Amino acid sequence: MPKFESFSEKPKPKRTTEELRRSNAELRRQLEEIRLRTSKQKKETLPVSRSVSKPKKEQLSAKFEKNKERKNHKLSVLTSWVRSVFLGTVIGLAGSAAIQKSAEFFVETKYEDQLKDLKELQAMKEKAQKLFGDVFKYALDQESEGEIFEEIEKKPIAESLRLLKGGKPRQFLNKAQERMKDEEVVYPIVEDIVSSEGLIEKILIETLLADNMIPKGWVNDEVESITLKSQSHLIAYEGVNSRALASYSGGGIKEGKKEKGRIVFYKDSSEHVSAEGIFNALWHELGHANGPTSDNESNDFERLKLMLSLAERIKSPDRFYSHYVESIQEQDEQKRNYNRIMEYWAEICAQYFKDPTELHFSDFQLVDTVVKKADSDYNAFAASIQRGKMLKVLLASRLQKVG
Amino acid sequence: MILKVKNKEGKNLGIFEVTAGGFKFLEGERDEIMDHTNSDNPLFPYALKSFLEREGYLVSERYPETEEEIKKLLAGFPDDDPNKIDILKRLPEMSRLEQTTFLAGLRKIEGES
Repeated sequence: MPKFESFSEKPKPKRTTEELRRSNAELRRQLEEIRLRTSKQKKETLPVSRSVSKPKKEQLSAKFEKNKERKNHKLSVLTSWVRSVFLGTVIGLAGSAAIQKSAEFFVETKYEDQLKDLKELQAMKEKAQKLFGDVFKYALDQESEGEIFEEIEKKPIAESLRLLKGGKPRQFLNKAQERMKDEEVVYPIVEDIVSSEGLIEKILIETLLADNMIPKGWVNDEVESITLKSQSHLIAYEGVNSRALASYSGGGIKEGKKEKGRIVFYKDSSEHVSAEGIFNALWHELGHANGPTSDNESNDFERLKLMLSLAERIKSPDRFYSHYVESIQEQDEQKRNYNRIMEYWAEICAQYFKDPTELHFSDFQLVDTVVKKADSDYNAFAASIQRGKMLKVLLASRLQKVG
Repeated sequence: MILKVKNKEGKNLGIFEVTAGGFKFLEGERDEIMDHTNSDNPLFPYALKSFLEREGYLVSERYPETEEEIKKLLAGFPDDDPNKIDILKRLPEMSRLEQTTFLAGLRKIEGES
């Protein structure tokens, strides 16, 4: 006898075929319901996932149009900026506001801001050491740098950076800029210079060094004298076998003190060169007076950066072609690099004052950045036109007087 | 090196390509400039440029490769864009500075898009 009584459930009765068929039909219905519900849910989620992985054609074309519009707008900004700068050149306007606009397009961050950490500065120094050897240190104000590094060694890196960015060099630079704004041109001692066209009187040179003709900071604090020597002077670079027309010596910061440099013309050479050639040489020497190892308005980091930028430019296929620079063929690579960048700088400075429109944009930017430190209102285009006109008039009147 | 030379009075004397060993006139007459000595020294083109400048000629270098790159970069802009039309129209007469400024700007736009 089956012991079912001990269970609360009674044994299920056997289902009939009809009952089984009904139960199976119910099960199929329920399964169908579940399938439908699942497929509906899938359908609802599909459009969302599709839009993320595969954008519709319309969405793509809208994005493309927006990019195109943005690109066209940028071209329009570029065109209007370049036009305003060069229109200023043609009609002789002081387009400094237009030039300032370049900042919107070519955001030239300050050197200090580029120094993300001390490692970057060290990397620059190592690069300069490799390229130029120990002479790269001429670009550094040994004393102020020594002080900063002494402090840095004692402090954690964040504080060291503050010292580098806001420390002595920047304060020194700002002071120089503020001072220059109100300062008159401090004329160097000038002598008459002999040219193939006759004597260039010192008054003519002084007139061309006047305010607005040459950036004030490129004369004040930088040039002590412009004189004429009777003895000749040989250019010391290997590959350049000729006598110098002029030279620059001294200048820069020595042991924390600013020094002015001396420009000397050599009569043996100058008497064979036209008056215009003499002035081109003067612009070249002014470049040396405000160069990577001598500019009193730049700090150590800016001078070092200029050196490295020039090292790139002298090897660039679109560099400024100068017979003088290309002729420097020192056997020692570091010496050759150093001498070439120094003369390349002076050559692009001479071109900047003679006619800046013939410079490559990269070279123009290098010189203009250093000029703007000393004289933020200086307009290279207007000044070059004004200087050219004045030089013609003054030389013509002088020649008449002599004739 | 391609040079455009004008005399002291601003008269256009022509455009010519100078290499170590030869002249090739691209535009203008050859009389005045061809009087100068030729040489196969690799520095001859630079020396000639300096010499002409010292003699009072107005010398400027021409850079066809810069013009070509500007044209290439402008190809991505619509043909009816007034700025594109203006740049292409003035391109041959633009100064070195203006051309290279446009080139730097266009390279920047291209890099950002």
